[in-house]
Amino acid sequence: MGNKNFRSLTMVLFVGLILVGCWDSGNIEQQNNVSLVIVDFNEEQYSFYIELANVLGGNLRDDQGGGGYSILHASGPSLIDARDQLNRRSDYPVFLGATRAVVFTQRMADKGIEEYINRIRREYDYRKSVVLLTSPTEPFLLISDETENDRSVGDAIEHTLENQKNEGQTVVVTVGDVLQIIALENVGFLLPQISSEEEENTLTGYTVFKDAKRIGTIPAEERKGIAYFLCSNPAFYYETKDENNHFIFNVVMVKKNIKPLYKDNQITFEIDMSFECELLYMNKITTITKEQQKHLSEELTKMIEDDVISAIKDSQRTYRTDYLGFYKYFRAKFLKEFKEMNWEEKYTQAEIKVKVKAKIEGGQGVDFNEKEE
Amino acid sequence: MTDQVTNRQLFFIIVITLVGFSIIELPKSLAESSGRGAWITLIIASISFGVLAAILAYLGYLFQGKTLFEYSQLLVGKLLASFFVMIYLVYFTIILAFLNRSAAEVIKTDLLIKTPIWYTMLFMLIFSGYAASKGITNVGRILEYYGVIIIFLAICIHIAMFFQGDLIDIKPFYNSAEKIKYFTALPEVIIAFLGFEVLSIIPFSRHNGKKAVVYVIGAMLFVGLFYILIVETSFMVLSVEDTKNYKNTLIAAMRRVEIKHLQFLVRLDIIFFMAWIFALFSTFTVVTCTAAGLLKKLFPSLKRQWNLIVILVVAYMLGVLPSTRLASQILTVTTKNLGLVPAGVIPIILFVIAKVKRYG
Repeated sequence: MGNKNFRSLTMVLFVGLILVGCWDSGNIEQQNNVSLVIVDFNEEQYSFYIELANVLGGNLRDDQGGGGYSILHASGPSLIDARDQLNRRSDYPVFLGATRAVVFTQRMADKGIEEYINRIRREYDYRKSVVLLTSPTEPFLLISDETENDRSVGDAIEHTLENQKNEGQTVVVTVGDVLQIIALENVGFLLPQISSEEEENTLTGYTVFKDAKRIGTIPAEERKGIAYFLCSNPAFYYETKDENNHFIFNVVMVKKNIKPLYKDNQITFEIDMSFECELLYMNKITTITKEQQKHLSEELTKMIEDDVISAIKDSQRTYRTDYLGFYKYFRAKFLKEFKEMNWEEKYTQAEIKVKVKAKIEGGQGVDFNEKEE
Repeated sequence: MTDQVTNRQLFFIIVITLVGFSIIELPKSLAESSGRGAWITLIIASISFGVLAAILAYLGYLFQGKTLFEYSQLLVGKLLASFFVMIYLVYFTIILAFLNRSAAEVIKTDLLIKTPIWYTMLFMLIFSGYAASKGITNVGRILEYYGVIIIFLAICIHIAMFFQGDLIDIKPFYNSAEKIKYFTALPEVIIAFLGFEVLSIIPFSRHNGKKAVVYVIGAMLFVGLFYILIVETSFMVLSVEDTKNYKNTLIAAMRRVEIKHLQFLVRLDIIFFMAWIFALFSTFTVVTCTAAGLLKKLFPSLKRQWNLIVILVVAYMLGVLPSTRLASQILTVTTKNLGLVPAGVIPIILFVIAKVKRYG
């Protein structure tokens, strides 16, 4: 009998508990789902520009008759004041879990982004895999971009980066990556830059950060050398010319080996990179002789080497900070020494030896004359 | 004969009881104490605690069909035996109370922000109390299934993390300059290896045989390897330096990982929370069951249901009343300083006396 009473008691309790429900339950339609955040700092005021999905409107764009996306702006003398105003302006609680990208304006980047990054660390609903970018464009112009296929500007920015990354053309930096770097001292990092060019949001380069503050910008045209260090499968087109023909190559990095050495207080890196260069097409179709092949290979090696060396030179001399990730290779071998040294100082004095190997291969329809003539 | 479990169930009971809560903060305490050599600390710890668990299992094998209370009566007399059981009972009740509290706090900070702690704690205890009312034999049967699910999900998640992280972030694997740190970090991981004391209420049968000792050691080593996978992949995703900036490190690491190919399951933390709450429920069930079992040894006339209700009410009140800081201090002191008494000191004393008295 006692057993039966016990059971009914637990049953009553169970049902009661389930009926109480969950304090945190919330309807997706009763949240302001953010897809893009732009953080600005102008005239001593922090501003947020956020793009919100109108769930009830079915995510359709305006011209399709739906509610589409709306833009909210809030500002204040500090980040919490700006957020406070944002909360007072939004009809439902702001939900950051669906954010696709966070963009810092150039002014904000100059001011420093560390506080905001640490803020993201604490916000439980922010995904730490959100991509980070900078932009010299005014926020309103950026956020009112007409996307080609995507539903929102936030989605469009994330997808542009994602596609470029898959093609081996750019490095994508997430909140998590930056959190890792700012936990260390004396290491810099890059954020992709997006600007409105001819009314289109375009990837235009990389912003260099030191102590989480912007110290310069590298244009997109100079990104090849950087990509060889930071991308997982970089691939670029190269063009070489001789007096009567042009050759277009698809250059893919197949091997990278960075070996750190530390002797008599001097850091040396030995970099070994191998590339496969597929000859895609020529201006005029001809047969390529062995000698020509050798010449082309030398020329490509030189071009790639120049890209790599100029990327290193930029980092060591122009910006004097390690955003190419050399510290990881050094730390993996000389942990104790790394902890004791001022990495930035040592890195700028490091000797870096680069060895590039470029192997040419014929693509479809390209005739390599393998026989000696 | 009641309260028996098979060797395979024994394996899962130990593994799940150990990993249930401590995994959340383990990467942080190791990042701070032994850094990149965390795996060495974990191997040393799993072997040392493996030996202690083996002693307890060996005693169970020597005195077949008897639990700690019965065989310690033979070895040290009834009074001292009751004293030992008292220690185990207090220890398990405190563990139940404060693990529940800590778990509820983690759930509040990272999952259910608005749900009050008293409610999460109550919910957890009622469910695990109900499961525990079915006795350790049935709990063993559930855990055999839950264990497989939890371990499978956890291994999948951490392998995914391994491929998202970069191996270079956790190198060098061994650094001779930090040798001493690998040992001084040991107290930090004690909490992660406690829980095998549940063996004190499980009587071994003829069917368990000597193999039970092997299964127990196997479980402890498995837990060690499992922790290495968890800690190292968390380091790969968060970096050793940044791991120190989080309290609930494992959850922070989960939040970093996304697998685009999984479509609607892109975020791994959903799967993680599912597996983790399963594990918590299992841990609490085993601990409740153990505490109730011990109470029954001291008061044999009490009915099983009343045993359970007493344990649950005491554990709930103990856990819900203190402030957050006091609660976490009590848990640390209990596990770090006192935890070794039921896990190590008492079994060793009993083992030595058993040998002196020429049992086995």
